Amino acid sequence: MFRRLTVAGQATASLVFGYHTAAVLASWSVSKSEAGVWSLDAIARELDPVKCRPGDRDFYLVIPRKGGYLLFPVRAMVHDGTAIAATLGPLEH
Amino acid sequence: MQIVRPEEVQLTLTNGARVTVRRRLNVREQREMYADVITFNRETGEVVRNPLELPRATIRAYLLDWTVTDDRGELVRIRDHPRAVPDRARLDAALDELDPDDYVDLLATIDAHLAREQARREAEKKTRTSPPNADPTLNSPSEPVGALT
Repeated sequence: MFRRLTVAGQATASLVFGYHTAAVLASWSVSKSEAGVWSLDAIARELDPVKCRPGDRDFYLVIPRKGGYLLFPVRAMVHDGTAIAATLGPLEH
Repeated sequence: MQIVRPEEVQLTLTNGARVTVRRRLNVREQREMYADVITFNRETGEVVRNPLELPRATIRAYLLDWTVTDDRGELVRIRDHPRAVPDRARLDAALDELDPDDYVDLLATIDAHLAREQARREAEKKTRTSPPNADPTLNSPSEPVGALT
């Protein structure tokens, strides 16, 4: 097993609040620390601050992948309108 | 006054198919639904309403997902993942291929949902308590209140 893991991709990931798109991510990387905490660093192509709801039960990071998608709840997040840093919950899908 | 939370509701059609719909539209979604039944002629400035488009506009506005299958029994996907809205072109193409009876069933199920939600909101308004003789012109609080950020 990996002690630390960082995943970055070309796929257009997004932050979603329910069925609303809160942010479209132009570039992103998701890391898992040695302590087992997942985090996101990203640059947003579009971001709607009203729909950014870190900690809400319906606020997720969605990463499309071949044949499916990865789904992380977003526990905490800071952004400046473009750059995003977030703490994620465990992978749910 | 509140922002509409993007909540989903599961409904079952009389033919057994399941659909996922928006509980309620927000202003943008409602505006887009109205726009679906209106054609604007830029040359004459004429606005034409086409009531024949209302059923499709209602379905487009509310439908998020379904369990409709094709003739091989494979799910007809209309959205990329369970947190997305349907792809408009894919949804339109799929709606056009439905059996007309199923289309009517889908529309009736969504219309019934709208009626239930309307009744629920009316009931909530009636049970909402407000002090008798409340003054609607109270002074603003000295500090902002609420949870908007």
